[in-house]
Order: sequence, then C-alpha cells, then structure tokens
Amino acid sequence: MIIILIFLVNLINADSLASQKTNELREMQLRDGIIELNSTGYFYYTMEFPRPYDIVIYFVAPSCKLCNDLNEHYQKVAKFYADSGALYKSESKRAVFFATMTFNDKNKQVFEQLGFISAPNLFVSQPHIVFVPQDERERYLRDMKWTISYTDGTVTAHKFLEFINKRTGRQVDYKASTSEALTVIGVLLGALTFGALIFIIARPLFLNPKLWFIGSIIIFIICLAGVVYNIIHNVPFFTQNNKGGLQWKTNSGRQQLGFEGLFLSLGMTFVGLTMVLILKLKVLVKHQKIDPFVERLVYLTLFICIFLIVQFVEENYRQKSHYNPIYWPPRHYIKGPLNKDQGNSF
Amino acid sequence: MSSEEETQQSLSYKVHKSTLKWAPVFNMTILLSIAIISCLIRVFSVIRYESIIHEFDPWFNYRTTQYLVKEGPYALWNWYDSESWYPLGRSVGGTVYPGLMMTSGMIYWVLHKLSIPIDIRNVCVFLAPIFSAFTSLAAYGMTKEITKRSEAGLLSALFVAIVPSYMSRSVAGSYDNEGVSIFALVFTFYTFLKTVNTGSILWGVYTALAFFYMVASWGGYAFIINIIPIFVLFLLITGRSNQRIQVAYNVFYILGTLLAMQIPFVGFQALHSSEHMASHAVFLLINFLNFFSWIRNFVSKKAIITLTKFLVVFLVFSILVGVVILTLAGKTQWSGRSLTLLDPTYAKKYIPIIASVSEHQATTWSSFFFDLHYLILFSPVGLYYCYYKPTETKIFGALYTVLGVYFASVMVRLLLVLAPAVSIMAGIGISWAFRKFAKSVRSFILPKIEKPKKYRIPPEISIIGLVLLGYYCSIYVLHANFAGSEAYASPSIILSSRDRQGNRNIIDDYREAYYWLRMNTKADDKIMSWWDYGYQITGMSNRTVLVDNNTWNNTHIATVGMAMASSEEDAFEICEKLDVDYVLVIFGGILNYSGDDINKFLWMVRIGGGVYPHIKEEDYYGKGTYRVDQYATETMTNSLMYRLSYYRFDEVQTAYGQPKGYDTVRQAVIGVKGYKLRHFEEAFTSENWIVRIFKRKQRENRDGVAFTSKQTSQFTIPKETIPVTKFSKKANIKQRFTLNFNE
Repeated sequence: MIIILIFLVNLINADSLASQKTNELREMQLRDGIIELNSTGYFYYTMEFPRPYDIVIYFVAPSCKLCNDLNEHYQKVAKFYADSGALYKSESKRAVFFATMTFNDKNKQVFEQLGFISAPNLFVSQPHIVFVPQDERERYLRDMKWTISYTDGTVTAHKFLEFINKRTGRQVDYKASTSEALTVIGVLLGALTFGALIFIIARPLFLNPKLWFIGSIIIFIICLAGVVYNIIHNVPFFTQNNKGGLQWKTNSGRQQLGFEGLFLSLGMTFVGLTMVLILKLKVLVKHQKIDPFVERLVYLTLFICIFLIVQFVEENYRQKSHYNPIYWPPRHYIKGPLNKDQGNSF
Repeated sequence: MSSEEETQQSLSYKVHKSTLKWAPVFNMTILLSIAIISCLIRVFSVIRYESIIHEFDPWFNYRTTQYLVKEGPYALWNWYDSESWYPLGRSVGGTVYPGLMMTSGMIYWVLHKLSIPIDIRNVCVFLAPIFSAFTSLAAYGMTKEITKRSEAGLLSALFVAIVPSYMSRSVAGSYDNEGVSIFALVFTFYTFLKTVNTGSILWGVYTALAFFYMVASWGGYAFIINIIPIFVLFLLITGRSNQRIQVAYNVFYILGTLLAMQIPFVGFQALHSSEHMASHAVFLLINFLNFFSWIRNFVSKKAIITLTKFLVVFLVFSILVGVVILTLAGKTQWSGRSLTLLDPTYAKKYIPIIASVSEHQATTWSSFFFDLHYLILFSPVGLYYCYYKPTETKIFGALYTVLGVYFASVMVRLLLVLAPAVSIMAGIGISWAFRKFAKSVRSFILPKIEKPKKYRIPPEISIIGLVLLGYYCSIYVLHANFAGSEAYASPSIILSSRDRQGNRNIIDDYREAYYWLRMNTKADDKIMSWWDYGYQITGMSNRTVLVDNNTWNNTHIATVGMAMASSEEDAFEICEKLDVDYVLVIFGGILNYSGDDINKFLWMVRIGGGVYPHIKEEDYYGKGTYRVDQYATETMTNSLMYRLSYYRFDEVQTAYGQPKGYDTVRQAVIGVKGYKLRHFEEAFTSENWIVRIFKRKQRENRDGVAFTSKQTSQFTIPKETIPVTKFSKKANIKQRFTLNFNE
C-alpha cells in the first residue's frame, strides 16, 4: 500500500517537474531565440529526469570562425522549428528546444563527456541518453552528434535540418523567408529590366548576326577553357614547379591549370578563326589594291599559322596523355591464338 | 591555244559533266559507306575481346532486356526487382527508360519471326553500332536541312559517324541508353528542322514521334525540350518568327508533351518539373502573340500600342511572379543533375553521389580535344557560316552548338550531346572551305563553266588549302580509328595486358569471381559491394545486392559506405542488420590496377559522411594526405575496406626489389601486416587478386555476455509521465542479452 502511494506521489511530482522544466525552456527560447546553456543548465535540463523533450545543442568555441559562420544557419533552423510548433509536444513527438553552449573552463567537463575535441558540434540530446549503458554510450553518442569541419563541404540550414529531422522524427522544411523571396524576385526583376533596357537601347546591335558570332565565340572560348572545371576545383592560374619557376601547365591528363586551359582554348578557336579569315580575306580587303605576290604571302602565312597552332595543341596534348593519330591497327591485332583465349561466356 | 590543250580541256569538261551526272549516285554510295564504316569502327571491341556486354550500366539494361524478351512488355512494366537494393527492392518498370530494351526486344522478335534464331545478347551487343549508322544518316539529313547542301551533309555524316566522343558510348557491347538516344536526338532535330523549313504538320508529327522515342530512351531529352523553346524564343526576340515556326513548335509541343507523359518514369513530370517550364512558357507566349496579331486586324493603331505596352508588362510580370511563387512553394523541383548544369558548383557542395561519378566531372580542354579532336578546331568556321547569312535552320544549328558547348563544359558526359553539333558545324565549315577552294581551282581549269570572280582565292593557294584540310580530315579519321580500337574498345570487365615478349594476356578476374559467386553461393545470399559493381553482380552472378548503379537511394549507399569505412566490429553489426552474407571488394594492388576500391574509398567516406556525420574525411588522412603506408591513420587501417583489401597481402611479393606487401598502385608498403579477421573470412580471391570476396561469419558463441542493448536509439520511449523507476524497469525488459565485444 505504502509502496503504491509513494509511487503515485512520485508520479505526480515527476509530472509537475516535467512540465515545469518544459515551460522554462520554452519561455527561454521564446525570449532569446536560442537558449544559452552553462554546465549547470546542461546537467539540469538534459541529464536529470524527468525531461520529456529533445534539446538540440550547438557547441561552439570562442574565436572559432566556422562556428560563427554557421551560427546564422543554426538560428534559422531554430526558428523554423519554433514556427512549426515544435516547442510544444504533439501526439507522438516530443517538444524540441534549441540551445547553444560556448566552451570555457567551467563547462569543459561537458565537452569532454561528449567527446568533443573540436568545434563546432551539433548534438541532439534525447531523454533516453540517461539510460544508455556505458559500453554502448560511445556508439549512441556517435549517432547523435555531428562534429562539423571543413571536409563537410558547405554546411547550410538544409543540412542542419536534415540532420535534426532525422533524429527528432519531425518533418520541418526549409522555408525561404519573405525577405529572401523578395530578394530573389527583386534580383530577377532587376536583371530582366536591365536586360530589356539594354535590348531596347541597343536593339539594332543585338539583331546583328556579327554580334551573335562574337558572342558565340566568346562562350566557345570560355567553355573550351574548362572554366567550370577551374571553378569547381579551385584551380590556380599558375603554379610554381619544383625548381621554383613559373609553371603554366600540368602533365596530368585529367587536370589543368587556369592559364593552360585558356591559352589552349584560345589556340584551338584561333585555328577556326584563321580559317574564316582565309576564306573572307578577299572580301575584307576588296577596296585595296594588293600586289599578287604579297597576297599569296599573306595566305601562306595564315596557313602556316594554322599548321603551327595545330602542331602546338597536339604537342601539348601529347605531354598530357597518350596521343598517336598516325595509327593503324597492327597485324597482331587479333584475339590471339585460341588456346590463349580465357574468355567464358555467360 | 594548241590542239593538245584543247583536247585536254574538253576531257576535263567531259569529266566534269559526267561527274555532275553521277553525283547523286556518288552521294548515296558515300553515305552508305559512311554508315557501314560507322558500324565497323565500333566492332573493334568484339574483335579484340569478345561479344560481351561492357562496363556497368549496360549490364542492367541487358538484364532488363532478357527479362523483357522472356516475360513480355507488361511484365516489365510491373517488374519489381527484389534482387537489387536489398531489402528495399526496386520498381524497375516505373524507374526505367524503356526505349532501349524495347528496341532490342523488337529486333529480337522480328528476327525470330523470320526464323533467325539470334541470341538476345548479340542483339544487345550490336545494337549501338547499328544505331550509329542511323545517326550518321540523320546527321546527313539535319545538315542538309541547315545548309541545303549535300556535301556539307556528307562531311557531317562522316564526322559524326566516327567522332570519338560518341564512339565512347556506342562501341559494340556498350549497350546503354546513349547508344540509341543520340540517334533519337539527331533525328528529332532533323525532323524539327524539316518542319521549320516546310511548315508541314505531318513533319511536326514526326518530330513529336521522334521526341517520344528520345524520351523513352534517355533522360537527356531535357536538352531537346529546352533547346527548341530557346530557339523559338530567340527567333521571336529577333523578329524572325513566322507561320512555319509556329506550326513546328505547336505541333511538337502539344503532341510531344502528351507523348512524353506516356512514359511512366516521366509521367506528370512533363507538366510540373522545372526542366519543362521553358516549353510551357514559350507555348503560351507564341500563341498569345499569334492571337494578338489577329486582334490587330480589328482595333485602331493607337489602341494597339497602348494595349501592347500593357500586355507585355503584364505578361512578363505574371510569368515571372508565377515561376518565382511556384519555385518558392516547392511546386516545381529541380532535379540534382539539372541543377548541376545551371550552377556547376551545386553538386560538389550538396550531392557527393553525383560529384563522385567520373563522367559527371567538369571538362578540361584536353577532354574536349581528345573526344572531338579537329572538329572543335574547325567548328568556328561553321558557326561563322551559319551567322553570315542566317536562316532559321542555321540559327538553330549555331544555337545548338553554343548551348552544347556550355553543357559539355559542365559535365564530361554531355560531350556526347555536343558531338553531333560540333560534327555538323565542322562539316559545314570544312565543306564551305572546300567549296571555296574548289571553285577557285575549277575556275582555273574550267574557265568556261566557273567564271573567274573578283573575290576568288588564288588557285595555287587553294590547292595548298585543299591539301591541308584533306590532311587534317584524314588525321581525324586515323585518330578516330585509334580511339575506336584502343581507347574505347575495352569492355572494362575484361582487361588485357601485354608482357615483355609482346604477348597479350587477358585478365578475366571479374568474370571469374562473378562466376564463382553464381556457382558457390546460395541463391538468396546477399552481396555487399560498392555500388559500381551492383549491376554486374546481379547481371552475372544472379545474386542480390544492396546497392547498384541506379543510385536512387543515397541513404542506402551511404550505409554501405559507412560499413566499408567503419572498423570491423562496427561493420559486422551493420552487415548483420542488413543481412549481408558476402562482402566483395575490388583490389588492384597486385596488378597495378588503379580503378580499385581503395582508390574509390574516399568517395565512400564522403558519401557515408554526408548521411552519417560521425564519419569524417580527415580521419582517413595520414599526415595530410590519403595514404595506406605506415603513416596511415588508425581509422584508415582499421576500416573494413583496408582490412579486407590488404588481408594476407603481406605474404606476397608484388614488385621486384620491394619488400612483401608492396602496393603497386599506391606505391607504398602497407602499414599494417599480419592481422587476422575476426568477423569475416576469406571466401574467394581471383587469380590476380582483383576481386576478393569475404564471407560474414555467424555471430560467435557467447564468451562475454553483457547487459547491452543493440539498438538504444530505437527505443520506444514511454509516455513522459512515467517516472524513472518504472522507465528503467521497462527498459530492462526491452534490453536484450547480446554479446560484449569489448572483452
């Protein structure tokens, strides 16, 4: 009888304590946006039962650049969660609160306990953390924490949301704020008006196919130069070789340097343009009287120009990778004697 | 003029005349030879190796085709494949572009009706070469529609028939979507240009049908559904639009979109995905303008101007706002691969699985040069020709080239889309040059027929030009020959090497291992490997795999990546959860085969880390670089991939003058030697160690039983009102007796 009574009292007490803690956290988050925890707060709110809620904690260190950069995204995520009603428990899901903890001598213990050796870290603390046995703890914590570093690529609010959603079981989506949406629309509208204005002002110019040709050739050169590759791989324009001299190309078949790409792209396009020049030369100089000998000399120079550029491009390619255009399949170019054939067909 | 000269002249006139007479015959003969050449140059792989399906994706297509001819089209429609993506499975019928399989199925059925008992494998192997012949014919037609000149068409057909970039995807055995869809692409453009030139609705219907075939066979159809609206818009802006364009576009858009929706994989995406937005917008715009010009007949001029101003602003604004709102509301979705095209850095930032595929890398100048060779050098000539006296079709050709060049620079594999464009442009350009030079030579030899003009190039210079261009064309042919026979002929599941005496050795480790799996494992065993080998294992071993090249489920792939990157103990837990019976790794350390799993391992780490953040890339870098030697980190040497790849590797000597355990690919002696595996055992290692298969052992007998729960994270948490005491009691019941591995 007494046991049951104690049990009931216990139950009621726990109930009131639980809702009290939840209310405290909710108030704090509503007031500050994100709850600042110190070590006492951490132990009180996360390690002491009852705690009928999840807390997402963002562990940062002072003078940590990445932490500051990501802080903005973290705040956004907290806001998305708060807006979606995650501050209150729903039928099957616990309330979720967002907190942050900054490293200092007093809360060192918390960082050590969770095994953080660098910052920033994201940690989703759930009620059953209290019950995880010691030897399972490491594996459990591993699933719940995320040590963010530069190898994680560009971390955005999307990635935070994905991580947290998976662990809290909620489906909170990224919502572009009104200001962001307006910016997008504004930029688009601005660009469009700008384009339209330019088009109206310079309309005759735009209708000129010669301009199209020039535009196409510029696009052609830029794309051929592998500019996208340069951007993605952050390729420098030049590097230094091991002798300390300036190096403008690599010998690796799959890579290139910024200048190398541009230079060879210019070279390759130049071949075509020279050809156009040869075909159009007579029309271009139709008003001038030219000595036939000089004329032939000019043509010859242009042809030699083409030849040399093609030679140059091929030579550069040959240094990067196997290149053998004068190729004819050799005589032994058969499967080999039958007894050498190890193939088995399925 | 002496009589001898006269007879000579009359002879050349005769030759000229009869050549003109026979020109159509020559034309057709050359075209036919080009078609034959385009087939033959792709058969090197069969001559040098054997008639076998190549690489990775073709194995899935082959397996699906086998299913199709065995079970019929409706069964394929409803096929739920339980052999892949264990334990999820994959609904193949709804997630596949069936054009390729249907095509070979058709050929198979027709041939069998004609009592030609051909094996479906041979249909599949030779399908791409046959379609490349069709492609060259279509390219001829398209170029002719652009320039109205058959000589340009013939050169383009020749160029496109042997362009290395296209050949890389269509050699015999390369049974992939691109093999048929490049034909569909060029043919769609051909019919579209025909419609533009004629304004015939019938040709518009053909365009829609060709487009339907394209949609049925490749996701690259998005290129068509964007480039045609862009082209129409361009014409509208530059004031070159006319009735024929309207007919062509309307017929193409309405029928094409309706037909595209018939493919289950596309379905309603044809209406609401962002890739199709441009086509909807242009359709509305073009019909609105049409309507407007009709109204113009009934309203005064002044009113029209006011109305125009109002409507233009209104239309632009509403379209813009509509698109923005739809995008913000998440109603339209950009697929990852398309976003990569618009923002090239997108994939690297957000989707490692897309970034990891080598054919999705951005293109360097050298890839352009190797895959398109001299075509890229001479296509500016064709561009100039197209812009010089632009017509609608010429503008289309130029637009296609410029857009294609952009897309190709973003993704290596889109060089394939660029290849026909560049071939056509180079064909137009070179034929223009040929024509100019030939005219000048002709006016020198046959002054009566070809009147000398003022702006003609001097004949001796023309001869130099002809020789130079002829030389470049033949070098191009030889280069293509090299690419077809050496660079792109390898089936990559059979490797070959040459020893010091020059004898060729076939390295057949893959098939050896897959055959071993087929014969020595139980029919329902599950094989875990990196996703690259999924299609091959299901295709050749007929066993269930966890992930394959379809890569539709990033999380599942990341789980496999996590297993490979975890320590043996952790990997064992994951493998047990996933029911894995065998783990297959590819290892090239003995044979200096650089495409092995250790080299791909960083991608497994990255992809795994994308979903399971406790896997950190930097943990696998020893002294700042990725290495396997004594400086490799503990995480690296403890990982399952390392353990399995280098298991017993220290017992063999691989290179002269190097200690045992010398990895020839990484050129380093491995860091950890003489270790034992606890939860896996070696089941099979192929002749050259390229494929190593390990069996997962059963859980060991209880040696140190501990009070541990296996899945703490998946507890059902009791109602929050339950006090501590009760909770822990309940938890105790839930906790299971499992083994303690921390001895």
